[in-house]
Amino acid sequence: MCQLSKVQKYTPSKIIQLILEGFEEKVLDSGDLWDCLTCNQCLKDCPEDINFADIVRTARYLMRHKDQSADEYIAHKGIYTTLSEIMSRPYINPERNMEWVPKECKISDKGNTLYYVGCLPFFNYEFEGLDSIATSTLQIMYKVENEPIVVLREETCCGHDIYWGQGKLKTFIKLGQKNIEKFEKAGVSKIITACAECYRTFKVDYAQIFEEFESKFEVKHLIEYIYENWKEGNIEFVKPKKSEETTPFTYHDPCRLSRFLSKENDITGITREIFKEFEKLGYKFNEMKHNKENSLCCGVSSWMNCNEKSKALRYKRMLEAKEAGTIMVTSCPKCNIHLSCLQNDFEDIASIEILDFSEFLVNHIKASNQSNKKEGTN
Amino acid sequence: MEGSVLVVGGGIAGIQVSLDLTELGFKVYLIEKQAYIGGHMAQFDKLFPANDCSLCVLAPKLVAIYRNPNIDLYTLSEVKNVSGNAGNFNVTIQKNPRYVDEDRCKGCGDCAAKCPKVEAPNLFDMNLGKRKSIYIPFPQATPPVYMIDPELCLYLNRNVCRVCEKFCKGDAIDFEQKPEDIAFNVGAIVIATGYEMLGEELSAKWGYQYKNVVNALEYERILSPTGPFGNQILRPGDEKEPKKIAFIQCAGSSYLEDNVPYCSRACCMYTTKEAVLTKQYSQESQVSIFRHNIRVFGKNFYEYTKEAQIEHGINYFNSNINSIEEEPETHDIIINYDDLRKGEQGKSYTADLVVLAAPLVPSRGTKDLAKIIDIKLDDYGFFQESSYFDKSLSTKKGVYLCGFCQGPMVISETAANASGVASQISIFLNSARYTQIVDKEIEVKPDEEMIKIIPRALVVGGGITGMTAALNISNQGFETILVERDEKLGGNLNHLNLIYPTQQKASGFLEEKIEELSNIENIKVFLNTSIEELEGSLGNYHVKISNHAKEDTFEVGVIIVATGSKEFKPHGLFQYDKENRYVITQLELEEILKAEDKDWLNGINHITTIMCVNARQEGGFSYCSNICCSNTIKNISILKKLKPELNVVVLFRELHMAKKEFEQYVSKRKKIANYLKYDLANIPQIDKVSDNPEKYEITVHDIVNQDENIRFETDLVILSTPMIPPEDLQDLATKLKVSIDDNGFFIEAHKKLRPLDLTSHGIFICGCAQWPKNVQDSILEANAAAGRASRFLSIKEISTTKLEMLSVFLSIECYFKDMKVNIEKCNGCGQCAEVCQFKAITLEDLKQDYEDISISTKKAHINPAICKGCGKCSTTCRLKAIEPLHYDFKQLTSIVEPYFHEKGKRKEAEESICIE
Repeated sequence: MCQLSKVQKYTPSKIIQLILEGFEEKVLDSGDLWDCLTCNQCLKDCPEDINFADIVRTARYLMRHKDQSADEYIAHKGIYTTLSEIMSRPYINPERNMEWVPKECKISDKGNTLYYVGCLPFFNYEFEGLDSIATSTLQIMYKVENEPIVVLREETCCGHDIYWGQGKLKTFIKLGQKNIEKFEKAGVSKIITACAECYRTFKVDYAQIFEEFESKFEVKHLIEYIYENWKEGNIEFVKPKKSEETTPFTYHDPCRLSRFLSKENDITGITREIFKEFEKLGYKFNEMKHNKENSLCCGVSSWMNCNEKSKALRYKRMLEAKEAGTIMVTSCPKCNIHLSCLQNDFEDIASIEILDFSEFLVNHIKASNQSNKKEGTN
Repeated sequence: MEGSVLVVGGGIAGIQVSLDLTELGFKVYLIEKQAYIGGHMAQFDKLFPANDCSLCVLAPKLVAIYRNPNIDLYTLSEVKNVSGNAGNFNVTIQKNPRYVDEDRCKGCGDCAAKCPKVEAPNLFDMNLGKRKSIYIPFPQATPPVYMIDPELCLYLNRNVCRVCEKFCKGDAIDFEQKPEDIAFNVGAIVIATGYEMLGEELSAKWGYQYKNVVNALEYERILSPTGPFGNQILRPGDEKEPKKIAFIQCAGSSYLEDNVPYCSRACCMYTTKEAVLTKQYSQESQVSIFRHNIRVFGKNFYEYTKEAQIEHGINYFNSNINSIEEEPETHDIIINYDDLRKGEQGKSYTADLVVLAAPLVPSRGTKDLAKIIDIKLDDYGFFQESSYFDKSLSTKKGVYLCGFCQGPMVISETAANASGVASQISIFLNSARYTQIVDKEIEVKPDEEMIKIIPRALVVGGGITGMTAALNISNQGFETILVERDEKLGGNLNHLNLIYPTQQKASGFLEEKIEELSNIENIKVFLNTSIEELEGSLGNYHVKISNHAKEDTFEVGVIIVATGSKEFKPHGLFQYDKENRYVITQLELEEILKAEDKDWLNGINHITTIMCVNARQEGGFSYCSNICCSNTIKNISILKKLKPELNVVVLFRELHMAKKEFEQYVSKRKKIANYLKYDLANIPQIDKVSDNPEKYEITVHDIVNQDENIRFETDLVILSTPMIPPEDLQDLATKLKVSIDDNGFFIEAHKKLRPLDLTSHGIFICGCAQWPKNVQDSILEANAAAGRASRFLSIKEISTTKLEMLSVFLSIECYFKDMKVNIEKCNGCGQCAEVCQFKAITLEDLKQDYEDISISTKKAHINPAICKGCGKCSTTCRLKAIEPLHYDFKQLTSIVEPYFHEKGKRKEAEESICIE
């Protein structure tokens, strides 16, 4: 059932019906589709497999061309989507802050494996502590990789927000072309990202739009990366400090890593497998009431519609988290931002520690003895 | 004592006094001779100086009158009889038949559409437009009810027709109506019968008999888009567009022997305004103004005439009109005149249309009314005031004069005067306040926010204005705090010698006032004191005052600013210097004249007065200070009385005096002194020729006589300098959150209709803080500001709706005022609160309930008492959750849309090249 309908009158099925009956213009003119969270809960429940989020995205493209302004729906005065827009311009390649790169990690601008950082360094001046996601990810990768990891100083935005939030297809394609050009120039064949949105964008959208993207680049989310290396025996999970206490924790499934992926892709499953292993390390993994494909939305998508309704949705999610544990892990930095932001407004949920998957794991990963990591470089 | 008031006349004076009286707690019977209220102001096209539409500004007030439960409005009515005494008059009025039932008529106009009677001239359009015999004078007429012209109606005259009756859906036609007498008792009477403009009564010299010569009121109708010619300017003779339009000022008035002997005060400005509007409506037209005297005495008047010449290319001819003739074939008008500027006699100018600034005279029926009420008229036919210092008092107790019926006044003065009259009636009928009021508040919603009003006033400034205001408020029963910066009360009056025309000693007059003030208990006077801090909003201002030694804090509901002005000391100009003891300013002369010892005059035989020193010029003060001309003439006559053999020369540029009380001094001025006219191109030269005794040589170029430079020696030079605002006014203005203009005077909420209100609710100005003025006008304004202020004090608390209503009905910027938060859209981000410079916005908690969760959210809340409607919050809010009331984004967008249309088209084209 539509998650937004819990806080405002919203019926995706009715909208689909209107479109099917030929009232497409009416739907577009009403502007109702700006409100959608694009969480795709409806797809999960739909017997006909109608991908409502895709319809919304296309509709937003059309709505903008009908001179509808999305201004009042966009949060943070549109600064972040504006940044993407700027990056899509041919000769603009903003150099990003690299202070977050830990000293011990060697990075390079050419190589086989790329860590795609995403927008994190740009968010830093509005939201605190996001750099540590990138730092942790790189530290984890450094434990595995032999070669220096490729991090692009002039990385371009993947275009997720501008594509889904405002339906700006043209800008999205420009960003994609720029990205591919840069990936090719760096000579990478493997792209690792810690962001649910970047992952889905590369994995599904780029693969659809750009020919050969799928064949040229192998895209992996950090969860998959860790899982595979664990299974291959390259890393093992350890307990850094000895303590008898058991910490209960839970996991918030981002929609982009659950409902938004093909059925074969089992990130939700492998995540749980890893967490099961963590029970040996003094943790207790509890599911929230809504989990995996039924996970509740973090309330905001693509910097759209940050309002009190979204706050109510988030608050609901946080209450579920509070019931399940003291730590809430998520693998989407955006979910992280939206949910942490709410903690400023509501004291009763402020105690929950919200951690990214990488932050949660970084100190528990050790290159295993059979790994040949250090031998190569030392 | 009756708690009701009769107001005679429904023009702007009558309207304003009625509205103020009801707010002060009195019932009003408003009677009007015409079928509609609004008077002449309803006929005007636009208003000086902002060119806002006159009717648009007036209409809210008309509606306020019509809907006010405490005002009984009688149109087509006249006063028949008045008996009884002040406090209890028995009044009988005669209501003439309208032949249409006022309660049943819906104003649909079906009757007029079907009326077979050929169209007749409409008096509202000065007989230029047409109407049927059943008609409404103009679409916005209040009451919005049709009427039948008994002289034209076929049924009433020939007993046939009755078509209107058949077609009236509301069954409103009533041919049986007869003149009806209505009697009631009132405590006081206000006369506000206004004026009329002469036309046919003018002598043939002015050419009014020709079709293409109109008077200014007729021209207002021609200019008006709702007037007889729609949105075109046409001349009445042949309905062609005139290319050359000439305005003639003082047509039949003031200085001319055979005509109206006083200055009508309003003409210089409305002529300029009409000329500017003409130029704006039809850019190709050539507009000339033939002037003789020009009297631009008021706030920003002089600047406006300058702007008309420089920016709009309007030509002023300083001229003397000999005659006006019509060219028989083309019906163009030939003006025969002498050019006084160039000294050329017998010139002529042909214009397509001539507009006469004809004299304004007391309205017809003034004499009859004076007889019925038993009050006196003055020499000019206006109602006689009983005291020079309070011109709203008639010669009979309990009868008050308001507006033009007492003497020439412009709209802003009339509006001020009306508030002053209301306040004085409020004092007089204080014991009967609220006794006859039906409904004290305009409807209070149950969940409405009420703003408490502390019944105490703060008056800033202890000159004659501040003292009068304080006296007025305390006499109405409210506590008053009077703060004066100096060590004594009285301000400029402390320096004055005699007050003309009463010839009273200023010191004596001042002592009386101070005595009166000290006898009243609920006035607290603080001398040597300044305002340290000022915070809050209407009803609740927190004031901290300090007199160096100790500090005091007060809570007050309203504030009256009477900070006055001071004389400019022209150091370095015209030999004004410490060394030169015989070059002095007017105020210094007054000080010397005050002294008993008059021996200093023995050695003086020749005196020169220079006027407009550093005034009305670039590099100096751009404005005219209003009072210097009368001061100069007064002081010359005092000097001549002291020493008749004195030679006095006055160097002047223009005499800007337009008060009926001073007309006789103006006309006699040349008998006691020589007047030489200079202009800015040839500013008089003063050279010191000897030191002991001091003697000066004056070199001046007299433009009237076009002579070579005139040189003469003089013993004493008197300089008339401008009045300027006190230095640290900006500091006070910032504390009050109001603005001051380029000249340093406070800016009113609306120049015409709210001349004493400042833009912050509950703060009022009066006297020289608004503009330099003499004692009479200062007192008038002090009473008026007190009246405006006590409206709030007397109601004790005010609902936000009422405050909005006040803004809607009584203010002009209402369309921009009062921002409203859309609770649905607001997400409580607080950006609006951050940008609000008046601190009117706070974030408040609101519990929101959803299907399975409820959260507490923050919502912006705007305090209407503080909000100025500047719109900053609205433009800051990205969610468009704050919109101005009565003027939404849709309306605004439609206005600016055409401008961006082209740009938008281009953008659209650009974006459609998207890859799909």
